[in-house]
Amino acid sequence: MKFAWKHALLAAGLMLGLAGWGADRAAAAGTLTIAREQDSTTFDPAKTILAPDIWVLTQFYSTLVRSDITATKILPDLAESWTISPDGKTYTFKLRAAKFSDGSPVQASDVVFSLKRVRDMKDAPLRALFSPLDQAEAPDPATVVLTLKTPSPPFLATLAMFAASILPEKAVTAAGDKFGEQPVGSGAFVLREWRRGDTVVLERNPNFWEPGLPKLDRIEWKYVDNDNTRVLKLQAGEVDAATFIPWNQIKQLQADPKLNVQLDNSTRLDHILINHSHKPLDNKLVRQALNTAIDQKAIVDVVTSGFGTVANSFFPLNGVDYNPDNKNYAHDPAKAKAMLEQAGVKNLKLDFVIVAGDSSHEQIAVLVKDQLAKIGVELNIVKLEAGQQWDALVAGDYDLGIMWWLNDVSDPDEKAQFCVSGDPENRSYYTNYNNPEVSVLVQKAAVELDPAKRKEMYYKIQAIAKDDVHWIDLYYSPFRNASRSNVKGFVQDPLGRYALETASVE
Amino acid sequence: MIAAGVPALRFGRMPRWAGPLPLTVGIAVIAVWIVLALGAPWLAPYDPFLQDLAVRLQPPGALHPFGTDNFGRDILSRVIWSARVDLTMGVIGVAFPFLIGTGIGAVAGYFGGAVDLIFMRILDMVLAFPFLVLVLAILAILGPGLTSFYIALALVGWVSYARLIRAQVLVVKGSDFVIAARSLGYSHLRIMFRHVLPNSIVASIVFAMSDIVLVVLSGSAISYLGLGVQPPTAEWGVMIAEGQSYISTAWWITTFPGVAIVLMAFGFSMLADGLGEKLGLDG
Amino acid sequence: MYRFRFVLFRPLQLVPVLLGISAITFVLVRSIPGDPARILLGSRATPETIAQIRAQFGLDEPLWLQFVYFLKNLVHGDMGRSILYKSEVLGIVTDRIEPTAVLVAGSVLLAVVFAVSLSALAATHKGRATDHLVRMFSTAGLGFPAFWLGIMLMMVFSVRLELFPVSGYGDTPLDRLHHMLLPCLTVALALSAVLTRNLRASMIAQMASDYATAARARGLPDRAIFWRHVLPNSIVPTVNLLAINIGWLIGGTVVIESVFSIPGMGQLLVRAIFSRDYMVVQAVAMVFACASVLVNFAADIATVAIDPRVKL
Repeated sequence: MKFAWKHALLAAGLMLGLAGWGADRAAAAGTLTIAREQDSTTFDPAKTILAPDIWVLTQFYSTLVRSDITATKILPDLAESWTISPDGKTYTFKLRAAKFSDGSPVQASDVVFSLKRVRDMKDAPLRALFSPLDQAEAPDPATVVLTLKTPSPPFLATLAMFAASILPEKAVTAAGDKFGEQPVGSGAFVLREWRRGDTVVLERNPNFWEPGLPKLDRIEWKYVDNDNTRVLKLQAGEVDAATFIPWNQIKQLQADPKLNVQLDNSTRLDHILINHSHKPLDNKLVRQALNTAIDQKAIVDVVTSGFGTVANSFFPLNGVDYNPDNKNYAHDPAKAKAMLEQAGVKNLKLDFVIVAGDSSHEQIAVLVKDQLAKIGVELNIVKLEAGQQWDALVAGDYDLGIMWWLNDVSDPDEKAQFCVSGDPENRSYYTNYNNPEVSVLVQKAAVELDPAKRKEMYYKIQAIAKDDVHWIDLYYSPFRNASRSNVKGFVQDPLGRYALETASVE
Repeated sequence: MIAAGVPALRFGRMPRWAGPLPLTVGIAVIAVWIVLALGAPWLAPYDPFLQDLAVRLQPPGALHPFGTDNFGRDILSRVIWSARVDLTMGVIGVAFPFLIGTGIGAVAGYFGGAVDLIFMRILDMVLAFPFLVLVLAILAILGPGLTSFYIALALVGWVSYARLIRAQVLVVKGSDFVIAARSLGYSHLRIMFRHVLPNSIVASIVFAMSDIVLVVLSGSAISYLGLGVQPPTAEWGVMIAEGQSYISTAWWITTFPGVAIVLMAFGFSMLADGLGEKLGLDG
Repeated sequence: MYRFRFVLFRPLQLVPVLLGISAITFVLVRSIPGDPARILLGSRATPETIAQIRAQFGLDEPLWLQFVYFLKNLVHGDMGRSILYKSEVLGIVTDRIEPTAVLVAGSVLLAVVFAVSLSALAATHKGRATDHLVRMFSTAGLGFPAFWLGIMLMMVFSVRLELFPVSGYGDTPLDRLHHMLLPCLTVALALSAVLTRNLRASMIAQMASDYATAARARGLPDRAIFWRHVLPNSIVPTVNLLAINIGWLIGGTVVIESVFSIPGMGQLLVRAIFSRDYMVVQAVAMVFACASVLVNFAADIATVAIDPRVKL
């Protein structure tokens, strides 16, 4: 019967006809198109801690000071210069002449407004970091004086983070709840268009204070959730860059002369939480046995295709005051078994909570289950959907669990406070780890003004935490981006910020 | 039950186009899968969970005919063991919706009136209820895994069968032979089971067989969203979902479980066709 | 008269269905363990910030009161605010309708064209090579996991042959059509396999039926029998099957939306459920429900139109 063939031909013709015109592949010069793995939710810097928000919104705003590309040194930004009083409690900033993207000048009153806003806003996730701030004053439009309750060495680094972005008081007040969708700042770029779930379009801020920057006219962040699709888009030339390349495809992409794989230093650490309040995990020897049984190298090889680094401290590689020589446990199943016997532990069964949908965590779980089985510990993998995993952790309803950490701020105090200080609220990241010696050291280091002494304290904290096995460090891993070879300067600092003001497309 | 009731509908002289070939092929393919599933401990060359990092990501070869995955596990063995999970999943996932749906659809279609109206409004509600919301919510409430998946399927899946059967029953009900049967004073039950149902159920059975495959595929979609069975369980959908970032570097991880699903789909489809022909044309 | 009433009153039944679905969704989503504020803030959540966010979004009220507020706001056309996106739900959701609608409509269109052609071919060549080929297609097409198939099509048609864009939604209407063809094709391959299997079986049954035989005996040509009897009658159950599949499709497109980065409802819904963004889930559920009810209503009309023997 011919008629049926006619239908089929018609359908085929229709498709080929539509395929007739080629895709618009050539990107305009000066435009950088980036495929990223997540979608933004808001661009209000005080209201978010999500990477996909932060990495875009840092393009919109300037801060008083900023960290350099290694995220270890503090550089001037909106503040041309600053002085700190000898008691470490009064900071005086001199502002440069800069304008917001709406043309209004950046004034000291805007700085005061922005810092008080993030400190006082009840639902600002990082407000605790700004709690040392006592008073903020603007004696004249170009001078800001900040007074702290106590000396705080991390404070300058805190001012360099995204949450401390300087916002125009007028525009924020006028926009109200909508500011997160209509951001105004004094950064290198402005928001041109935002199609949620699809594209965020940035254009250069003509009022940007730094001469000659940014080099790009336009940036398009495209939300491309699937790993393979992101890579294929890059290979097909539909985008200039792609974030979070799957580990196992890095080698293949490195071999492609048209592409550049960028493995930038990061402060990410993946680790296994241990619930110290569950017996026998309160026993240090048992925790040490578990750590000794785990083969970190194997995890690095399988999960990160060898691109990660075995972690020897809960401080991140590339972070301030990280001790590269911190003593780690050597993988030794026989010794681990002996340690368990010595601790008198038999037939240990543990619940291992992992987040559903995180492929690297599922891989770690499969490996660790196998490694612990070799010392007679039975691991029950409990896959929980992300929202419930938090409940389980906070409620202490787990034995072991996987987590990762990326520094928000270059100073180590935040992480030390959060992960080992035994603070009653977050109980050392819900592990219930509490070593008085460490707690005291953390608080001392927080106010120590001498960098050398402070470093020594942090080295000691890293050593004790490791000896106590407050949690099990797994691996450090770099950021993994890839770009077309004509893209220059598409780099991330160790905190994750993209330095796009200096990036260019040739 | 179905085949025993000889349909009263008499077909005219029709050429018997196809022999029992599809049925034979279908049964053979499914039988092979059942044998593989039951005999997995003896038939699989390796322990499906055995990790050997020294032979990670090996392409298919003599030692590992289907290659190895990123943990150095033997894919052939995992594919064989998966048959257990997937066959169970397909059968349980379809059985409940089929039984519930056929019952409701037949009753609603045959009696019509108020019964039909009530059932159809419930059906409208379930049908309009976004499947995805229900599945994800149930998986989130009960935790990722098969039980939650079955519950979600049972709550939603019956609708397809109910509608399908009802539409068929409506057509058959109007046909001369049912009117004739009624005028002869046959009971509703007798008409339902001996005349209406056997003539209506063909499409439903055909659909059920392809539905088994759809259930397995839904399972793989759930795995794609990260809510599949707990690792390290071997299950085709999970194997494909987990291996998807290796599509361009180690094709064998996703391809062989994919082929397994297709082969199972082929078996059930053939079975469905053969069954459909037998039930529809014989008699 | 009866039919006229049906067309008039059936849409009114949408109201109770929607109310029921809203209520069930409302309770269902809120009974998922996990606090939205906790999920939003992760390890940075403190009891204080959690309480603040709960109060802001009225989550500290009793459930029934929250539902009353929800209905009250709904009457005023206000769908509430999203916890995750910190923005009006209405805007977030309406932006996502078009891509999903285009994806579903395009897929169905392609699938129907494929299915009718293939099953007609198979049914008229039953038992011959063509029939077997069609069967092979319908079994193979059915068996491929959508995301795998999507990526394969992408590798061949977009990267190798450069015929289609890899992913995305495009800007102009024509550009969008171009972007959506590959995702539609991916869905259509699986969908047409389901439809073909069903349609082929029905067609064969119809060709063997009394009236087909009678018509043949009256000397009507095969082609006329096919168009006048076999196709209209066998398509009734298929239309119903399709209507059901549209409900599935709208929800099931999420994987395709993810693979082809289409900014549709499915993706929004998955993220909303995972983040316990209650109001967004609520709104998406209602849009899905409306779409599903309307499509099934249309299917009922089509059933009557095609086969006047069926009374509704």
